[in-house]
Amino acid sequence: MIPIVETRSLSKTYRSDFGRKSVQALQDLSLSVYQGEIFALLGLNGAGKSTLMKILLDLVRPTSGEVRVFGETLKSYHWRRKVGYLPELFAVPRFMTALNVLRYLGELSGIKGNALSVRIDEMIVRVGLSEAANRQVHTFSKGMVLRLGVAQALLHQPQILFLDEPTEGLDPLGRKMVRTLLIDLANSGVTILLNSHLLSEVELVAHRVGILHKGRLRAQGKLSELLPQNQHFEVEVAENPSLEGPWTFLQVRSGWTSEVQGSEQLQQLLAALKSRSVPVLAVKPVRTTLEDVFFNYISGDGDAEDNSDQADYP
Amino acid sequence: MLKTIVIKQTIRENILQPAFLLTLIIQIAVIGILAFGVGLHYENGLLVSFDWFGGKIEEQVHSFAETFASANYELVSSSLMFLFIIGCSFLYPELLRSPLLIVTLARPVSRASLFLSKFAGFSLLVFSAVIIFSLIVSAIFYEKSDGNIGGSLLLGSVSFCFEFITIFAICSLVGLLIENSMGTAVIAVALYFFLGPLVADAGEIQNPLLKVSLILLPPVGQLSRATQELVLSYRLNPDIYLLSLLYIAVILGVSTTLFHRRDIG
Repeated sequence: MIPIVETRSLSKTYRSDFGRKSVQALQDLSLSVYQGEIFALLGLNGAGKSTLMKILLDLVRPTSGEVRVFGETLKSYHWRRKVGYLPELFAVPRFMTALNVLRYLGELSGIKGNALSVRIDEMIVRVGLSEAANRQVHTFSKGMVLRLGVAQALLHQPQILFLDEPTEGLDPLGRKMVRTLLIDLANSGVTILLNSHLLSEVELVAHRVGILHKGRLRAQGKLSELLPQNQHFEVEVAENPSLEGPWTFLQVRSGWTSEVQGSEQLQQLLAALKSRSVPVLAVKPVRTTLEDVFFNYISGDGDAEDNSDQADYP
Repeated sequence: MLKTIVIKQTIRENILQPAFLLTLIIQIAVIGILAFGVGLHYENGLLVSFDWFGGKIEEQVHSFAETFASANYELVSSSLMFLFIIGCSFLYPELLRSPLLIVTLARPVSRASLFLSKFAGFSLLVFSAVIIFSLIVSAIFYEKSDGNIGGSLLLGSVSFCFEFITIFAICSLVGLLIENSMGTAVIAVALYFFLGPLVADAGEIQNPLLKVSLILLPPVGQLSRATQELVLSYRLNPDIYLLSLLYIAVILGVSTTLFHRRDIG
C-alpha cells in the first residue's frame, strides 16, 4: 500500500540569534500514514508534533530529510487542494464573520460561486454554527472558534486532514461531535493525521499512534501492538488467604486484593484459592491505558527502537 | 498569479484603517476648501484675480497663484504620502502575525501569489483614493479656470502613485526583515522625507563614498520632484520612472524570495 504521507529521516533545527542558539525540533523522523486511517501523534508540549504538521504543509522547511504527500514532493502546491488543516489555537481576525472566513478560505481552495455557498451552508450546519454565521468572530466562545476551524478544514472536502489538537478547549459535547466527525470521515476514506495530548480521546478514535518525544519518534504502531498483550487482573477475596507462591495480597477496605499477570496466572491463583476454600469476591481486569504506554515511552522505560519500525500498516 | 480574493480581502482589511480614514478626511477637507474657498477669474486665458475665502488678489496674481499651488501641493501630497506610508508599513508585519496566514498558506496558493496579491490589494486601494481625489480636484480647477488648468493634476496623481509603489516596495522588504510595523514606518518615513531629498541632490555631493551610497538608494526623492514638476509645470521626466520600475522589480523580487524561504507559524 502506498502511503499518503511519508517522511524519511526528517530533521528540523530552529536557529535564532543569528544561528548562535538552536533548538532541535525533529530528529531523524520516518513515518508513513496510509489512506483511510486515523494516525495520532502523541507527545508533550514541545515534542515536535506541530512542527511536523507544518513541515508536511510546507509552512516550515525541514533542515534535512524527505517529505512526500500524495507521492509528491512539496515543491508544487497544487496537492494542497486535497488537504484540510486545523492549526493548534485556531484564530481568525476579530472583525471577520464566520461566513467571511469560510468564503475567503473556500475561494482560496478553488471552490467558487453557488457551489461554495452550498458547501458553506452545509459546513455551518454540520458544526452547529447556524445561529452565529453572520456574527463577528470576536463575539464567539473558544469552542465556537474551534468549530469554525473544523468547518474551514473540511470545507473543500479534503482527502487528508491535518488536525492539531482538534478537541483542545471544547466541552464534552463538542469533543463528542469532533470524535464522531473523525470516525465518519475515516469511514468515508479520508485520512487523518491527528496531534493530541488528550490520550483518552486518541484511544477512542485512532487506528495507529506515534509517540513523539523531544523530536524523536519513540514508537509507532497499532494500539493493539503498543498496549501490552499480557492482561492484568485484580483478584479480591474476603480474608487474607496466606498462600505460598508469587502472590502478594494487600489489605483494602472491603478485603484483600492481589494483582496477577495473564490468564494463566489467574487460573493458578483461582485454583489455589479454591483449594483453601477462600471465597473470591471479585475478579477485575486491570486495563493498561494508552496513557500508561505513553508515559512508559517518554520516561525512557519503553524499548522505542524495537517498536518504531514494526507494525507497518495495514 | 494574483488572487482576486486576497486583493479584495486586503482592501476590506485596510479601508477602515485609521491612517487610511485620515487620508479620506484630508481629501474631503481639501475638496471642500477648493470648491467653496477658492475663486479664479480668467480673461483671454490669463489669470486676472484670485479669490481666497472672500479676499481678492489682483496684483501679481500669477506669482501668488504659483506660490499658493506649490505650497498647498507640498502640504497635501506630503500629508497623504505620510499617512499612506504609515498604513502600508503595517501590512507585512501584520500579515506575518495574522492568525489566518497559516490556514491561507495551507491552501493551494503560492507564497509569491499571496505576497504580491497583498501588495496589489493595498496599492489598488491607494490608487483609487488618489485617482478619485485628483479627478475631483481636477474637475473643480477645470470648472473654476474655464478649462485653463486641471489636466496636469491627473498626470501628477499617476506619478504620485508611482512614488507610493516605490516606497511601498521598500516597506514590504523592511517589514519582512524586521517584522515590526512601527520600525518599518520610521525607516520608510526617514527614507522618503529625509534621505530621499538627499539622494535627489546626490549630484552636488563631493564625498564619493556618500555619493555612491545615496545613489544606491531607491530614487524616491527624484520621483517626488518629478511629480511636483509634472503637477506644477507639466514637465515629464520618463527616465526616473524607468529607474523606479527597475528598483520596484528588484525590491519585490527580493521580498518575495524572503517570504518564500521563511518558516511560517
